[in-house]
Amino acid sequence: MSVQAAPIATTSTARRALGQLAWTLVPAAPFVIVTLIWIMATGILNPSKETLPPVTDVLASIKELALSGQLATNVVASLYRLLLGSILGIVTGLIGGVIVGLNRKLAESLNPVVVFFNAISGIVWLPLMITWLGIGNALAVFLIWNTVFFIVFQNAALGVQLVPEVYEQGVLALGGGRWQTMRSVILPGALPYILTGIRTGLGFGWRALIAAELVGAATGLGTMIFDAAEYHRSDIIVAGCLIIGVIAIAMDRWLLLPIERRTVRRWGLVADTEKER
Amino acid sequence: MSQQITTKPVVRRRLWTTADGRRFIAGAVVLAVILFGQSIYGMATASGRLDPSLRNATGPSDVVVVLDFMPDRFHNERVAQYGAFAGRDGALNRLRLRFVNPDNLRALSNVAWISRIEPFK
Repeated sequence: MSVQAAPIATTSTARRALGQLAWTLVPAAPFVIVTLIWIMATGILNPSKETLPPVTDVLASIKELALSGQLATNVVASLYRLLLGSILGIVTGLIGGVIVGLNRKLAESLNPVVVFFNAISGIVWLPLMITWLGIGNALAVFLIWNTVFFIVFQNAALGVQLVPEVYEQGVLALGGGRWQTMRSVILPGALPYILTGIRTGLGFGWRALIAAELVGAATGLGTMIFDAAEYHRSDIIVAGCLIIGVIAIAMDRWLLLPIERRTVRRWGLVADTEKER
Repeated sequence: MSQQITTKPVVRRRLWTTADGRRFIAGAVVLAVILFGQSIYGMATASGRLDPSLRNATGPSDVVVVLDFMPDRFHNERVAQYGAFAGRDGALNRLRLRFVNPDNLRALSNVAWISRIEPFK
Protein backbone atom coordinates (compact mmCIF):
# COMPACT_ATOMS: atom_id res chain seq x y z
CA MET A 1 0.00 0.00 0.00
CA SER A 2 2.81 2.40 0.88
CA VAL A 3 4.47 1.59 -2.44
CA GLN A 4 1.40 2.89 -4.28
CA ALA A 5 1.00 5.96 -2.04
CA ALA A 6 4.46 7.38 -2.70
CA PRO A 7 3.97 8.42 -6.35
CA ILE A 8 0.56 9.94 -5.53
CA ALA A 9 2.12 12.04 -2.77
CA THR A 10 4.94 13.18 -5.08
CA THR A 11 2.47 14.15 -7.80
CA SER A 12 0.32 16.13 -5.40
CA THR A 13 3.39 17.91 -3.96
CA ALA A 14 4.60 18.79 -7.44
CA ARG A 15 1.13 19.99 -8.40
CA ARG A 16 0.96 22.12 -5.27
CA ALA A 17 4.41 23.60 -5.98
CA LEU A 18 3.37 24.39 -9.56
CA GLY A 19 0.18 25.99 -8.29
CA GLN A 20 2.17 28.12 -5.83
CA LEU A 21 4.58 29.18 -8.57
CA ALA A 22 1.66 30.14 -10.82
CA TRP A 23 0.13 32.27 -8.04
CA THR A 24 3.51 33.92 -7.44
CA LEU A 25 3.67 34.90 -11.11
CA VAL A 26 0.08 36.15 -11.34
CA PRO A 27 0.93 39.73 -10.17
CA ALA A 28 3.36 40.02 -13.10
CA ALA A 29 0.69 39.09 -15.67
CA PRO A 30 -0.85 42.59 -16.11
CA PHE A 31 2.62 44.05 -16.72
CA VAL A 32 3.40 41.39 -19.29
CA ILE A 33 0.06 42.01 -21.05
CA VAL A 34 0.56 45.79 -21.11
CA THR A 35 4.11 45.35 -22.44
CA LEU A 36 2.87 43.03 -25.20
CA ILE A 37 0.15 45.54 -26.17
CA TRP A 38 2.79 48.28 -26.16
CA ILE A 39 5.11 46.24 -28.41
CA MET A 40 2.24 45.40 -30.79
CA ALA A 41 0.98 49.00 -30.86
CA THR A 42 4.40 50.40 -31.78
CA GLY A 43 4.90 47.61 -34.35
CA ILE A 44 1.47 47.83 -36.05
CA LEU A 45 0.49 51.49 -35.70
CA ASN A 46 4.05 52.75 -36.05
CA PRO A 47 3.49 56.01 -34.15
CA SER A 48 6.16 58.71 -33.97
CA LYS A 49 8.71 58.27 -31.18
CA GLU A 50 7.38 61.43 -29.50
CA THR A 51 3.90 59.90 -29.29
CA LEU A 52 4.80 56.41 -28.15
CA PRO A 53 8.45 55.34 -27.97
CA PRO A 54 9.29 51.67 -28.62
CA VAL A 55 10.14 49.48 -25.63
CA THR A 56 13.72 49.12 -26.87
CA ASP A 57 14.20 52.91 -26.91
CA VAL A 58 12.93 53.19 -23.35
CA LEU A 59 15.27 50.42 -22.18
CA ALA A 60 18.17 52.09 -24.01
CA SER A 61 17.30 55.39 -22.28
CA ILE A 62 17.31 53.73 -18.88
CA LYS A 63 20.76 52.29 -19.63
CA GLU A 64 22.03 55.67 -20.87
CA LEU A 65 20.64 57.49 -17.83
CA ALA A 66 22.20 54.92 -15.51
CA LEU A 67 25.63 55.08 -17.14
CA SER A 68 25.73 58.88 -17.23
CA GLY A 69 24.97 59.15 -13.50
CA GLN A 70 21.67 61.00 -14.05
CA LEU A 71 19.50 58.15 -12.87
CA ALA A 72 21.24 57.59 -9.55
CA THR A 73 21.44 61.32 -8.78
CA ASN A 74 17.76 61.88 -9.56
CA VAL A 75 16.59 58.75 -7.73
CA VAL A 76 18.61 59.69 -4.64
CA ALA A 77 17.23 63.26 -4.68
CA SER A 78 13.65 61.99 -5.01
CA LEU A 79 14.01 59.27 -2.38
CA TYR A 80 15.60 61.71 0.06
CA ARG A 81 12.62 64.07 -0.25
CA LEU A 82 10.11 61.23 -0.15
CA LEU A 83 11.62 59.67 2.97
CA LEU A 84 11.91 63.01 4.77
CA GLY A 85 8.37 64.13 3.92
CA SER A 86 6.90 60.70 4.61
CA ILE A 87 8.64 60.24 7.96
CA LEU A 88 7.39 63.66 9.06
CA GLY A 89 3.89 62.85 7.79
CA ILE A 90 3.82 59.42 9.42
CA VAL A 91 5.10 60.59 12.80
CA THR A 92 2.81 63.62 13.05
CA GLY A 93 -0.15 61.77 11.55
CA LEU A 94 0.29 58.84 13.91
CA ILE A 95 0.60 60.98 17.04
CA GLY A 96 -2.31 63.20 16.04
CA GLY A 97 -4.46 60.28 14.90
CA VAL A 98 -3.98 58.30 18.12
CA ILE A 99 -4.71 61.35 20.31
CA VAL A 100 -7.82 62.20 18.33
CA GLY A 101 -8.92 58.55 18.19
CA LEU A 102 -8.78 58.31 21.98
CA ASN A 103 -11.03 61.30 22.49
CA ARG A 104 -14.38 61.15 20.71
CA LYS A 105 -15.28 64.80 21.45
CA LEU A 106 -11.94 66.01 20.15
CA ALA A 107 -12.44 63.85 17.05
CA GLU A 108 -15.85 65.38 16.40
CA SER A 109 -14.61 68.93 16.87
CA LEU A 110 -11.53 68.42 14.68
CA ASN A 111 -13.36 66.55 11.94
CA PRO A 112 -14.42 69.68 9.94
CA VAL A 113 -10.84 71.00 10.00
CA VAL A 114 -9.47 67.67 8.77
CA VAL A 115 -12.08 67.39 6.02
CA PHE A 116 -11.43 71.01 5.02
CA PHE A 117 -7.66 70.63 4.65
CA ASN A 118 -7.86 67.12 3.23
CA ALA A 119 -10.01 68.42 0.40
CA ILE A 120 -7.33 70.91 -0.61
CA SER A 121 -5.04 69.02 -2.91
CA GLY A 122 -1.28 69.41 -2.63
CA ILE A 123 -1.07 71.08 -6.04
CA VAL A 124 -3.36 73.87 -4.82
CA TRP A 125 -0.85 74.72 -2.11
CA LEU A 126 1.97 75.07 -4.64
CA PRO A 127 1.63 78.76 -5.64
CA LEU A 128 1.33 79.86 -2.03
CA MET A 129 4.07 77.55 -0.77
CA ILE A 130 6.51 78.71 -3.42
CA THR A 131 6.27 82.22 -1.98
CA TRP A 132 6.51 80.96 1.60
CA LEU A 133 9.15 78.25 1.32
CA GLY A 134 10.82 79.07 -1.99
CA ILE A 135 11.78 76.52 -4.60
CA GLY A 136 13.70 73.57 -3.17
CA ASN A 137 13.52 70.64 -0.80
CA ALA A 138 11.29 72.37 1.76
CA LEU A 139 8.54 72.79 -0.83
CA ALA A 140 8.61 69.10 -1.82
CA VAL A 141 8.80 67.95 1.79
CA PHE A 142 5.78 70.09 2.70
CA LEU A 143 3.70 68.72 -0.18
CA ILE A 144 4.58 65.12 0.72
CA TRP A 145 3.87 65.77 4.40
CA ASN A 146 0.51 67.34 3.48
CA THR A 147 -0.42 64.21 1.53
CA VAL A 148 0.88 61.54 3.92
CA PHE A 149 -0.26 63.25 7.13
CA PHE A 150 -4.01 63.20 6.45
CA ILE A 151 -4.07 59.60 5.28
CA VAL A 152 -2.08 58.32 8.28
CA PHE A 153 -3.99 60.62 10.64
CA GLN A 154 -7.43 59.43 9.53
CA ASN A 155 -6.45 55.75 9.46
CA ALA A 156 -4.82 55.92 12.90
CA ALA A 157 -7.84 57.73 14.40
CA LEU A 158 -10.22 55.22 12.82
CA GLY A 159 -8.12 52.27 13.97
CA VAL A 160 -8.07 53.51 17.56
CA GLN A 161 -11.81 54.23 17.53
CA LEU A 162 -12.63 50.76 16.22
CA VAL A 163 -10.84 48.87 19.02
CA PRO A 164 -13.68 47.24 21.01
CA GLU A 165 -14.00 48.91 24.38
CA VAL A 166 -14.53 45.56 26.09
CA TYR A 167 -10.82 44.73 25.58
CA GLU A 168 -9.76 48.00 27.22
CA GLN A 169 -12.14 47.33 30.10
CA GLY A 170 -10.69 43.85 30.42
CA VAL A 171 -7.15 45.16 30.90
CA LEU A 172 -8.37 47.83 33.33
CA ALA A 173 -10.38 45.24 35.29
CA LEU A 174 -7.26 43.10 35.62
CA GLY A 175 -5.41 46.00 37.19
CA GLY A 176 -3.72 47.42 34.13
CA GLY A 177 -3.09 51.13 33.85
CA ARG A 178 -3.80 53.56 31.02
CA TRP A 179 -0.36 53.09 29.48
CA GLN A 180 -0.71 49.29 29.61
CA THR A 181 -4.08 49.52 27.86
CA MET A 182 -2.54 51.69 25.21
CA ARG A 183 0.45 49.37 24.71
CA SER A 184 -1.34 46.04 24.89
CA VAL A 185 -4.75 46.79 23.38
CA ILE A 186 -5.19 50.09 21.58
CA LEU A 187 -1.99 50.29 19.53
CA PRO A 188 -1.95 46.60 18.48
CA GLY A 189 -5.66 46.80 17.67
CA ALA A 190 -5.22 49.92 15.57
CA LEU A 191 -2.06 48.61 13.90
CA PRO A 192 -3.64 47.13 10.75
CA TYR A 193 -5.31 50.48 10.03
CA ILE A 194 -2.14 52.42 10.84
CA LEU A 195 -0.03 50.26 8.53
CA THR A 196 -2.61 50.48 5.75
CA GLY A 197 -2.52 54.25 6.18
CA ILE A 198 1.27 54.30 5.94
CA ARG A 199 1.30 52.14 2.79
CA THR A 200 -1.43 54.19 1.12
CA GLY A 201 0.18 57.43 2.27
CA LEU A 202 3.53 56.49 0.75
CA GLY A 203 1.83 55.72 -2.57
CA PHE A 204 0.19 59.12 -2.59
CA GLY A 205 3.45 60.65 -1.35
CA TRP A 206 5.08 59.65 -4.66
CA ARG A 207 2.41 61.60 -6.53
CA ALA A 208 2.98 64.69 -4.40
CA LEU A 209 6.74 64.36 -4.80
CA ILE A 210 6.63 64.27 -8.59
CA ALA A 211 4.18 67.20 -8.66
CA ALA A 212 6.54 69.23 -6.45
CA GLU A 213 9.59 68.31 -8.53
CA LEU A 214 7.85 69.26 -11.76
CA VAL A 215 7.59 72.79 -10.44
CA GLY A 216 10.45 73.49 -8.12
CA ALA A 217 13.56 71.30 -7.91
CA ALA A 218 16.95 71.14 -9.61
CA THR A 219 17.17 67.35 -9.45
CA GLY A 220 14.79 64.43 -8.99
CA LEU A 221 12.75 62.08 -11.12
CA GLY A 222 10.00 64.69 -11.61
CA THR A 223 12.58 67.22 -12.82
CA MET A 224 14.07 64.60 -15.14
CA ILE A 225 10.63 63.96 -16.66
CA PHE A 226 9.90 67.68 -16.96
CA ASP A 227 13.26 68.38 -18.65
CA ALA A 228 12.65 65.49 -21.05
CA ALA A 229 9.24 66.94 -21.95
CA GLU A 230 10.94 70.16 -23.06
CA TYR A 231 12.96 68.18 -25.61
CA HIS A 232 10.07 65.86 -26.57
CA ARG A 233 12.02 62.89 -25.22
CA SER A 234 9.07 60.57 -24.63
CA ASP A 235 11.46 57.67 -24.07
CA ILE A 236 12.89 59.39 -20.98
CA ILE A 237 9.38 60.35 -19.79
CA VAL A 238 8.22 56.72 -20.00
CA ALA A 239 11.51 55.54 -18.47
CA GLY A 240 10.96 57.94 -15.55
CA CYS A 241 7.42 56.62 -15.03
CA LEU A 242 8.67 53.03 -15.09
CA ILE A 243 11.42 53.77 -12.58
CA ILE A 244 8.99 55.50 -10.21
CA GLY A 245 6.63 52.52 -10.41
CA VAL A 246 9.37 49.94 -9.91
CA ILE A 247 10.79 51.76 -6.86
CA ALA A 248 7.29 52.13 -5.38
CA ILE A 249 6.58 48.41 -5.84
CA ALA A 250 9.99 47.45 -4.43
CA MET A 251 9.50 49.66 -1.37
CA ASP A 252 6.01 48.27 -0.79
CA ARG A 253 6.90 44.60 -1.31
CA TRP A 254 10.34 44.55 0.30
CA LEU A 255 10.01 47.06 3.10
CA LEU A 256 6.43 47.85 4.04
CA LEU A 257 4.72 44.51 3.48
CA PRO A 258 7.25 42.51 5.56
CA ILE A 259 6.98 45.09 8.36
CA GLU A 260 3.20 44.90 8.21
CA ARG A 261 3.14 41.11 8.30
CA ARG A 262 5.71 40.87 11.06
CA THR A 263 4.14 43.46 13.35
CA VAL A 264 0.57 42.37 12.76
CA ARG A 265 1.49 38.72 13.34
CA ARG A 266 3.45 39.54 16.48
CA TRP A 267 0.28 40.76 18.13
CA GLY A 268 -1.68 37.77 16.86
CA LEU A 269 -3.99 39.77 14.66
CA VAL A 270 -4.05 37.20 11.85
CA ALA A 271 -5.24 33.62 11.87
CA ASP A 272 -2.72 30.76 11.70
CA THR A 273 -3.79 29.85 8.17
CA GLU A 274 -3.10 33.42 7.11
CA LYS A 275 0.32 33.31 8.79
CA GLU A 276 1.50 30.50 6.58
CA ARG A 277 1.00 32.44 3.37
CA MET B 1 -4.62 14.36 41.18
CA SER B 2 -2.59 17.37 40.26
CA GLN B 3 -2.91 18.90 36.85
CA GLN B 4 0.29 20.07 35.31
CA ILE B 5 0.01 23.39 33.53
CA THR B 6 2.35 23.75 30.62
CA THR B 7 2.90 26.94 28.70
CA LYS B 8 4.30 27.25 25.24
CA PRO B 9 7.63 29.06 25.28
CA VAL B 10 7.58 32.32 23.37
CA VAL B 11 9.77 31.80 20.36
CA ARG B 12 11.26 35.00 19.05
CA ARG B 13 12.56 34.28 15.63
CA ARG B 14 15.49 36.26 14.34
CA LEU B 15 14.78 38.62 11.46
CA TRP B 16 16.79 36.67 8.86
CA THR B 17 15.20 33.31 9.69
CA THR B 18 11.83 34.20 8.17
CA ALA B 19 11.00 34.84 4.51
CA ASP B 20 9.58 38.26 5.35
CA GLY B 21 12.66 39.12 7.38
CA ARG B 22 14.98 38.18 4.53
CA ARG B 23 12.83 40.17 2.11
CA PHE B 24 13.02 43.19 4.42
CA ILE B 25 16.80 42.91 4.72
CA ALA B 26 17.09 42.63 0.92
CA GLY B 27 14.86 45.71 0.54
CA ALA B 28 16.88 47.69 3.06
CA VAL B 29 20.14 46.71 1.34
CA VAL B 30 18.78 47.69 -2.10
CA LEU B 31 17.57 51.03 -0.68
CA ALA B 32 20.98 51.67 0.92
CA VAL B 33 22.76 50.79 -2.34
CA ILE B 34 20.47 53.15 -4.29
CA LEU B 35 20.95 55.96 -1.78
CA PHE B 36 24.66 55.66 -1.11
CA GLY B 37 26.07 53.37 -3.83
CA GLN B 38 27.04 56.06 -6.31
CA SER B 39 28.61 58.33 -3.68
CA ILE B 40 30.61 55.48 -2.15
CA TYR B 41 31.78 54.31 -5.57
CA GLY B 42 32.70 57.90 -6.48
CA MET B 43 34.70 58.39 -3.29
CA ALA B 44 36.45 55.03 -3.63
CA THR B 45 37.61 55.78 -7.17
CA ALA B 46 38.28 59.52 -6.71
CA SER B 47 42.10 59.28 -6.85
CA GLY B 48 42.04 57.66 -10.29
CA ARG B 49 39.89 60.48 -11.63
CA LEU B 50 42.07 63.41 -10.57
CA ASP B 51 45.25 64.18 -12.56
CA PRO B 52 48.38 63.77 -10.35
CA SER B 53 49.37 67.39 -10.98
CA LEU B 54 46.11 68.57 -9.38
CA ARG B 55 46.23 66.39 -6.27
CA ASN B 56 48.20 68.86 -4.16
CA ALA B 57 46.59 72.05 -5.45
CA THR B 58 46.51 74.77 -2.79
CA GLY B 59 44.76 77.49 -4.73
CA PRO B 60 42.08 77.79 -7.41
CA SER B 61 42.78 75.67 -10.51
CA ASP B 62 41.58 75.74 -14.10
CA VAL B 63 40.62 72.24 -15.14
CA VAL B 64 39.12 70.22 -17.97
CA VAL B 65 36.42 67.77 -16.90
CA VAL B 66 36.39 64.77 -19.23
CA LEU B 67 33.26 62.64 -19.60
CA ASP B 68 32.86 59.27 -21.31
CA PHE B 69 29.58 60.34 -22.90
CA MET B 70 27.95 63.40 -24.46
CA PRO B 71 26.83 65.65 -21.62
CA ASP B 72 23.23 66.73 -21.15
CA ARG B 73 21.94 69.86 -19.46
CA PHE B 74 22.03 67.88 -16.19
CA HIS B 75 25.81 67.31 -16.44
CA ASN B 76 26.59 70.90 -17.47
CA GLU B 77 24.60 72.26 -14.54
CA ARG B 78 26.21 69.85 -12.08
CA VAL B 79 29.78 70.58 -13.23
CA ALA B 80 29.11 74.34 -13.15
CA GLN B 81 28.40 74.09 -9.41
CA TYR B 82 32.11 73.52 -8.72
CA GLY B 83 33.62 76.40 -10.70
CA ALA B 84 33.09 78.85 -13.56
CA PHE B 85 31.96 76.99 -16.67
CA ALA B 86 34.10 78.20 -19.58
CA GLY B 87 32.92 76.21 -22.59
CA ARG B 88 34.30 73.10 -24.31
CA ASP B 89 37.87 72.04 -24.78
CA GLY B 90 38.06 70.66 -28.32
CA ALA B 91 35.24 68.14 -27.89
CA LEU B 92 31.71 68.19 -26.57
CA ASN B 93 32.57 65.83 -23.74
CA ARG B 94 35.49 67.98 -22.45
CA LEU B 95 34.21 70.79 -20.23
CA ARG B 96 36.42 73.72 -19.19
CA LEU B 97 36.01 74.79 -15.63
CA ARG B 98 37.87 77.78 -14.17
CA PHE B 99 38.64 78.87 -10.63
CA VAL B 100 37.98 75.53 -8.98
CA ASN B 101 39.12 75.78 -5.35
CA PRO B 102 40.82 72.77 -3.68
CA ASP B 103 37.68 71.74 -1.76
CA ASN B 104 35.58 71.83 -4.89
CA LEU B 105 38.30 69.94 -6.77
CA ARG B 106 38.11 67.14 -4.22
CA ALA B 107 34.31 67.16 -4.36
CA LEU B 108 34.41 67.11 -8.15
CA SER B 109 36.72 64.11 -8.14
CA ASN B 110 34.13 62.24 -6.03
CA VAL B 111 31.52 62.51 -8.80
CA ALA B 112 31.20 58.96 -10.12
CA TRP B 113 30.19 59.76 -13.70
CA ILE B 114 33.23 61.96 -14.38
CA SER B 115 35.95 60.10 -16.22
CA ARG B 116 38.99 62.36 -15.65
CA ILE B 117 39.91 65.80 -14.36
CA GLU B 118 42.89 67.26 -16.19
CA PRO B 119 44.68 70.59 -15.81
CA PHE B 120 43.61 73.20 -18.35
CA LYS B 121 46.62 74.27 -20.40
